[in-house]
Amino acid sequence: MADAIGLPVNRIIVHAPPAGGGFGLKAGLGWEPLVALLSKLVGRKPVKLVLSRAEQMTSAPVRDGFIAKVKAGFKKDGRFVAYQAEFYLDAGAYADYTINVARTAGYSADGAYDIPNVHVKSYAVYTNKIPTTAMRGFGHPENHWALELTLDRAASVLGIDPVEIRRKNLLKPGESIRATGERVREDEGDPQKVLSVLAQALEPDHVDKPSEPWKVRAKGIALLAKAPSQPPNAGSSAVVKLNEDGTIDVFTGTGSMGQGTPTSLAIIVAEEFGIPLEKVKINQLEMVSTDTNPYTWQTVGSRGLFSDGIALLRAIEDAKDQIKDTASRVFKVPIDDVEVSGGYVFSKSHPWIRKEIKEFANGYTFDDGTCIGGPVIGRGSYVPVLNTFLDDNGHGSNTVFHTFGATAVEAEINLITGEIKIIKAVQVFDVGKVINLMGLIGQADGGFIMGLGSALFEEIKFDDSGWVLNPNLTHYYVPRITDTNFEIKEKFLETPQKDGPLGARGIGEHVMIGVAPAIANAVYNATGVKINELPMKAENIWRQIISQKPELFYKAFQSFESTLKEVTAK
Amino acid sequence: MSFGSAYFTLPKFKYVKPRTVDELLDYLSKYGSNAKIMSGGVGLIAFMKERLISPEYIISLSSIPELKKIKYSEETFEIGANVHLSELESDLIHKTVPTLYKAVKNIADPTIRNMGTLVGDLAEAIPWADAYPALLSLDASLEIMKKGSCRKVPVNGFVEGLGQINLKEDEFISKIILPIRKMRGTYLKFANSSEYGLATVALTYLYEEERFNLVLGSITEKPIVINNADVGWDFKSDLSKNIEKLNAFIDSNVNPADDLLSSSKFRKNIIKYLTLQAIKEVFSYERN
Amino acid sequence: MKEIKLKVDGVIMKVNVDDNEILLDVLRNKLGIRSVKAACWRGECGLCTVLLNGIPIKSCMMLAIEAEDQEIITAQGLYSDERARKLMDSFVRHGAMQCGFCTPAFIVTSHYILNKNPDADDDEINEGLKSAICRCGTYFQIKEAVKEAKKYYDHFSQS
Repeated sequence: MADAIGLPVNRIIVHAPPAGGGFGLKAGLGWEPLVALLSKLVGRKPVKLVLSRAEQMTSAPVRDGFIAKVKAGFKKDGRFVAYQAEFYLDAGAYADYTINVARTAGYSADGAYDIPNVHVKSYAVYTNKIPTTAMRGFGHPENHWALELTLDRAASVLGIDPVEIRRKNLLKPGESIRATGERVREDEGDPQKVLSVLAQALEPDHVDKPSEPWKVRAKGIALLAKAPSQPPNAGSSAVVKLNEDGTIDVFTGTGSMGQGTPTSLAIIVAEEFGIPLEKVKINQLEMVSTDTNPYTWQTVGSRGLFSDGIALLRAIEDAKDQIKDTASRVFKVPIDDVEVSGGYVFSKSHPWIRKEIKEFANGYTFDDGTCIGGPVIGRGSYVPVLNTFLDDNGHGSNTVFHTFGATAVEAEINLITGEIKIIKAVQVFDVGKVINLMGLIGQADGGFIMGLGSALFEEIKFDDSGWVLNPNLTHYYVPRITDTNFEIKEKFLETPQKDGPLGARGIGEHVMIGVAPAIANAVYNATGVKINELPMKAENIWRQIISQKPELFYKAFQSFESTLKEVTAK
Repeated sequence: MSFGSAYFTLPKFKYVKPRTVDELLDYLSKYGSNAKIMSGGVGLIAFMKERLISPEYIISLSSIPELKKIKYSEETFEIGANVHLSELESDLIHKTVPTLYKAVKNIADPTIRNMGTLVGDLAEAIPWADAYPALLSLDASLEIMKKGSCRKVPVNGFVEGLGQINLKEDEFISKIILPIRKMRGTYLKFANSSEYGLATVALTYLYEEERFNLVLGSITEKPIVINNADVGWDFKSDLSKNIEKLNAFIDSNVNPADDLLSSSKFRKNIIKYLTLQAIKEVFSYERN
Repeated sequence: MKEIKLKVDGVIMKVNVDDNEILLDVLRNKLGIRSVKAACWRGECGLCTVLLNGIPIKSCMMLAIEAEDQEIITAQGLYSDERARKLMDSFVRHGAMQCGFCTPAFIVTSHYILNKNPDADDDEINEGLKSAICRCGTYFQIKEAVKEAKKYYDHFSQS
């Protein structure tokens, strides 16, 4: 904004109330400077911009279109030894955020696997279509579509089970080196356990019979790994303010858009001080403002809980240090004998010497009126350690954590109409530490539904000159409650992330990455039909069946027609 | 045609609210060429928001009690112009005119059905609407009124094309009349990746008269009506032989359109599937 | 411009409306009832749903002037209904609310469904709620919240 409208940063105040979702689309700056300039033009009166749904879908950014050409090499025993890929991302009219998406899709092309030879070229392409930007997954739903389908097809060619081929190739924490040359940390998570938990939850040997003989059922899986895609200096900061009634105010930079990060951060504060959650207020549930909230790089990339959380823990430590300093003088004990937890400040060696935390909020006031210590205001700051840009070969150390995860589905395919129905779904993520279980379940389920949308229904249609043909919610179909008639299981593993807040990692985007490939793999397992294109809407699946395995269609139609023989006309 | 609206507002118009049918007919004769009737208003508001139509006058039906009536007698079902679709989701309608019941259940969603009307859906005249195919298969007729006259016409031929209906500027549809006969009927809709159906089938089988009306909707600009005579259906012979004839008829006579929703080939596949499903449903007979 | 009277959330309000003004705009902009949301302005997303004389309708597809002398209840008005409050509680406890943008619409519609039939089965609930979209994908949680709230609609008399 400062660049665009020519004001210094501290003369611009941005207020961000809780938003109705974001999912990354609100990450880039687009229309906002225009509104500021319009206000200037009309004598500094307030100006409000509202885009209609049609305007949103024709001129505000969306997710990139994506084409992948891949070549993969496997040894007979299933070892994945070489992966060559070319990615083309449709950036639309402006070379904006999609450049980063293209870069990320490129350097993360190897997903959760240890592939010794990786060669990826990733292009962001100008077209005269709607501009594209960051969207949940940031290149990973795209590159995992190519990768996870490749694995299942290789498994089929080699005669190896899809779970087994993944087991053989998963990255080994502490040992493996990624395509970027970055060593996988020891505390990155437990991908083998993710896979085995997924396999178990899916009950691979148990597939219910399809509801009718012209339908088939099968299971499909996809594994995934993602790190926040951010510059090497993406920082976070936090401030913790104690109030005299024992309540605490928390300020960090991450915005609230339903993803639950503010709640999780508040939980951390409540845990660390040992006070009820109701006593913690994190102000982004009302409004994040650049005037009151400290810096965080952006509310994107599944980085909020991790980065802001670390900064917050440091702020909490800082606040506690201040309390301990004051308390040591009040209790007349050495500083390192003072502990702050469980709602109290107390002497470790003489625990009956204790006071409530609130007595120190504004400094400690003695009976004679003297006051020591002053108001407690904790501050913390975090920046990734020794992260670098990637060099011209795509090598460098540019991640702060990876979360491993997996999605599996049992799907039923109608061989006559091409319709895909989900029967069961499983989501598994190694989150490091479950801080807010309800939030995690909400992300796992909600992310699945969003993934279901792009897997089965969602498609922006263009005519030959680049006009959007379906800028409305009638013909751009978004999942509704009637599309969720299936069972979903969520499993969260807790392999701690040593530097994560309470050991936690992020999962905001991971929850949708595996959905489309898992469904495509289910279709492949059920029919042998290779689906390469999204969405997997009925017509597209039908066309592939007719083109690749026409006999499946004809047999299905015959079995359907034969059920008519059971009907007798009056 | 839903392409998306860049407008939040409606064009300017004058709103009038007659209290009786006579008042309504007066307005129509005065303003007819510049007026549109607002029944449920859903289709009207959608078109106006996209500036596809811009009438000077909007004549609301919401204060005319007579038009909100459903009249049921032994011979007919009369549905007034301002009866909301949700009122048609009743057990009585399900039993007496099942084709209509199932068609209504497939229109939009329950909340829209609280607002929209059957007459409104019919008058919208878009190929993917559900009212017209259902009414065709039920041999419905329309009562059309204008100042000084009132006529009944069969519903067949009412829709002439996309957005074109056989109704003069000073006329309005006051009710839909359905003859009541012993029937079994169904309405099936195939929608995928869109709220609109890409293929629909309405089938009404009058089992005492040994006659059926099969209507294929959403696949061409106007629905295709096929009755048993067209196909050479022989009620005395095997169902499988009849189905062969029906399949052959569809193969040679039905050419679905290519559009945003679907290709012609896929539509043909689906319409065959839906048709056979409808036949199966309607011709299954459980002896009491 | 015409001055019309209508009852909104239990309060009789007088407001000036043009013939072509839409009910949604009048509710949000002239009467300040911000819980009624808009995301498509064409009757597709369902977030503008309110109860008109007790029946859910999409306020973006209705003229304000047609609401003259009618009664409108929004999610804010439902707060004074004990059963609806328990329903809202249930939503919160089940995590059926992430960004919250769709929540007023789902509360209004669920209330209508349970009020009409406290024994509504899963199919009835799903069918009734399909008119609104939740992009965050809280459908599973919404279903559980509504199911759990059924018992509150059983115990109190219907409104």
